[in-house]
Amino acid sequence: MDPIIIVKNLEKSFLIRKKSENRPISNLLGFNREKVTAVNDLSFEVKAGEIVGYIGLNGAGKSTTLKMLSGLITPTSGHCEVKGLNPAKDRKRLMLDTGVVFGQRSQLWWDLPVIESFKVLKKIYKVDTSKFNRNFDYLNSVLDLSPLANKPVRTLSLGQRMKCEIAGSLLHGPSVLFLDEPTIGLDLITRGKIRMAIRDINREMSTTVMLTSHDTEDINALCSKIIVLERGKIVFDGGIDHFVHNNNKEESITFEIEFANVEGKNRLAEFVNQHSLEISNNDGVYQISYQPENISRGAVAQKVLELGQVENINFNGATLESAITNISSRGASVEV
Amino acid sequence: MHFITLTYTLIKTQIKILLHYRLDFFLGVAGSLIQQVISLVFLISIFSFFDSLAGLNLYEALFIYACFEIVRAIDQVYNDGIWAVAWVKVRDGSFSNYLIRPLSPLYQIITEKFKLESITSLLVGLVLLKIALNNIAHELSWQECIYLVFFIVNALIIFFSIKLIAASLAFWLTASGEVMTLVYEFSQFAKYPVGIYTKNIAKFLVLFIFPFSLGISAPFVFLFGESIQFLQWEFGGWSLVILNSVVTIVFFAISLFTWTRGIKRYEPTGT
Repeated sequence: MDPIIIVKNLEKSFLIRKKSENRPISNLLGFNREKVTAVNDLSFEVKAGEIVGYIGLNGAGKSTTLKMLSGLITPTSGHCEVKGLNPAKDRKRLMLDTGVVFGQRSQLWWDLPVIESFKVLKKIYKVDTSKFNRNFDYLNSVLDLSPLANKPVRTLSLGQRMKCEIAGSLLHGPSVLFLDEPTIGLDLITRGKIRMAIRDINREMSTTVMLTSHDTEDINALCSKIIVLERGKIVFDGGIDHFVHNNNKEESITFEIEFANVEGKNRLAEFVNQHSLEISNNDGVYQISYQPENISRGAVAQKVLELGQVENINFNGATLESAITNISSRGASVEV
Repeated sequence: MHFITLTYTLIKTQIKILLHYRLDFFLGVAGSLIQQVISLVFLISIFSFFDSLAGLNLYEALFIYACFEIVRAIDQVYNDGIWAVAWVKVRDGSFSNYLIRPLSPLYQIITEKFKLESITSLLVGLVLLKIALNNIAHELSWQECIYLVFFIVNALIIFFSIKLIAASLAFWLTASGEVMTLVYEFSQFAKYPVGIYTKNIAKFLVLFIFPFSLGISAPFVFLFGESIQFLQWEFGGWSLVILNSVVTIVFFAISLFTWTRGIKRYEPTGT
């Protein structure tokens, strides 16, 4: 399928005020400025109908990218297009077919009941009545909006409002949806519901979704592909499994054990030596680190269980979370 | 067609919201009436000391004052949302909400807020205009009415442009509410005939830098065959129409330019 979002060598930098000790007047007038690059040399593509997770730590440049793609800010250099349009130039045309939700910001009318807000949106996005009713009924079935419809937006709880925000951004059936942390601040159950809704909407309306989130559950549950950003640069672009596998060279298993016999301890040491694993003992809590490509998790566990009465066994397997932690700490050590 | 029905929907929405805050609305009406009475008493009390103001009698001065009230009232009714841009919207990032809609930000700002309470000022202004005309014993012909409307539209564009330039500065300064208040205060000088500003520098300010006075005084000067003097030049009749139009167009162009440049450098807050 054709790419719906194309980004090439995209860069955004800001000038920020910098204080200089020996130039007080220039400080006051704001002449001392420093260029800070938010994102640099981004290139990626998103195919129509995909859900792409855009992940990275705080300040990695995720929101900045989404803001460039939705025409809120102008790139410093490089090229980006969504549906063949340049967001900075054709913002109005693009927005007619795009939905945008920025986590903590409301775009509904604060004093109006939800349904009234939706009716204004219907008008703004030129949605005809039959399409509006169809979309509203569908969003209602997915997000359970009926109990909220007649409440003014300002009286809604965060979770309720988020549902309405997402519904509001989808009423016109956009082909692209940008979600910046759609589940931030929501409880487990609501998060799950929002997630399901995003997946259903993607399937039913074949909406291309690009979302950022710090919740790896969101990403795992939704995304077919992830783009990982670190300090304004893309460090990975591909499938989740591939990313998790690539960035988790090591897994570990922790346990407490009461050895069946004296031999047990020696046999464990022997096993560890034989497979050149690492072992540590912290107040009776053992941790064995192994490389999944050399030895399977099962084999290690089986050996441990053979040797005695095991309690509190924990597998610290390869997860998206550990992969992100790994690449981030690697980045930090490079800088030091 | 879509544009008209959309505008209608957005205005209707604003009025619905306004009805949520009825007390606020009535306090606003009371406040603007009190302000009017004070200005008017001040103007009348000037004429209890002097027979004329820069060669104008009470009712001629009242004509200018009425034009000022009419222009300022209309400006407040439709173009009050821009204050929020200068004070908070750029600073707190809520300006982003305009940019994610398939509409131009200016259109959204204008349709977003209607200060209906200022309609009372508009009515007062119209009544004062009628009183002034009756006492000057001048009946406006329909051509003169068209000129009057033309000058009032130009004055509205001048108000719009100056406010927009001041608001645009928020994109550079993060917030420009103070600047905008200061600049807007200059419109107060337009209540009185230009002739009272005898110093050339003051005249230059009210005619060309903050040209509220040029916009507001123009209908009186044109309709009653007077002229505005500046240095060795004299603007009356058609030369006034040209000067007024040129200044209006220049300010309008500058305002749109700074506005679009400003939006390009808009930096939303982190989300």
